Amino acid sequence: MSDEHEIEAAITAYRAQLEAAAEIGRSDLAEIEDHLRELVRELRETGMPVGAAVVEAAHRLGEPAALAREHARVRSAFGAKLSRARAWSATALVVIQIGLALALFNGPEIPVFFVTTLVLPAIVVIGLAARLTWARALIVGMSSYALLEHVIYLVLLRNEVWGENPWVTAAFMVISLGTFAFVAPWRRGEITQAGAALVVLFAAFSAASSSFGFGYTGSLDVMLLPYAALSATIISGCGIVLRARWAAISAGAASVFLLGCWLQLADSLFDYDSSWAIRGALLGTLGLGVIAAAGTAVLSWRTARTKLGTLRSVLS
Amino acid sequence: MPRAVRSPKPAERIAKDLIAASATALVLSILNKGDSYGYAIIQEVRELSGGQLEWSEGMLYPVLHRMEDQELIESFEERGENGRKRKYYRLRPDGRRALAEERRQWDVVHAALTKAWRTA
Repeated sequence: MSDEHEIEAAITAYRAQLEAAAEIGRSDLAEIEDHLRELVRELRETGMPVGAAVVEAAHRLGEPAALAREHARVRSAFGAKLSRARAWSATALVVIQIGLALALFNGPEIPVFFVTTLVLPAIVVIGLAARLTWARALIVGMSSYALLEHVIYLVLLRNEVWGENPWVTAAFMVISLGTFAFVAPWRRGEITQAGAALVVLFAAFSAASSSFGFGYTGSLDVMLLPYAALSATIISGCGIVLRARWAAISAGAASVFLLGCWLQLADSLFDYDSSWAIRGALLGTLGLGVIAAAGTAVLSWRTARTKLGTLRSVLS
Repeated sequence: MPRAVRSPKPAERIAKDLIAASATALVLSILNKGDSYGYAIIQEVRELSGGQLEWSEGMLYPVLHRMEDQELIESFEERGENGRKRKYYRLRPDGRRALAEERRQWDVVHAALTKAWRTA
């Protein structure tokens, strides 16, 4: 084996041990790897043979398992902590957004919407202001989804959207864009896989909560699937924050329920005198939700720490 | 480029607790002189202490990242002389204030010990 190969093999092995012991962001891994390379170079300059230099460098850097655990304590489960300036700027924008959404709310007045437009957002906003990283991940999901939704609706339903209240639509877009700019993971590895599960979950949550608005009839047999889908996404979100394995089961169930909503909606849409664009937008939203919930199930299963979860991760 | 300093015998090393306690002050002081990166900071600590402050090198990173979270320092990426991207750290205004406070506290400890030993 040539010297270069030996060094590369040793570095790959060290990285693998770090990754196995705890979750480490890619940029943190790259930083440690850079250090390892510098150490090997320095030791070889003193005349040490490659094999010994690699062993000594790994020894000086420290036990990979201990190092990874220490990292995991600082870097929280869902990604890097936002700076105060970014967290509080985003908080202010999200508060405005919630206020606007409440003021303009035009869905059926049922307790579910009280939960989805006020209670849950309020909890996440408090989390964001406290710089908790799961709240940041959820806000990344919320703002990027809001932007996507606006763009799609603007393309598909230009007249309906602009016709109603163009200034409000424009304001919503600007605020979502601003929020996104403050919370987005601009650097590699700023959001972990567990955080990504929460980002993706938001599309499922939006689909579930809008499935109420689409076909609200008041009768339980029609609304059973939307209720089930919404509960499953919310429960899954709690599970991910706790880093529990059951979160994945709940997300999987949400995906199935959303698929049920999709079929129900596809069936009933033809009773309405709605345009193809509206049908397309509604079915697209739900379809995206089905895929997002399935993706959340995979991500949350892979990143769960324990079966039942731990309360400590709520404060990370 | 700094040369490798041979590790002193265990008995000559500084106790772990003391290393942990002084880590923040040392990092702040080094970054106060100019932006730096992990490996170079370790080298500097070793040189400053004549090889007596021997850190478990990997443990520097959690310290740096915690200080980053506390907004004492911030990181930025730049290509190093080897062409690879490298993460550098620089002091933030809060870090400068924290350094002043650390200095004040260490001066008090140092002065107290010096006095105590002079009269012993």
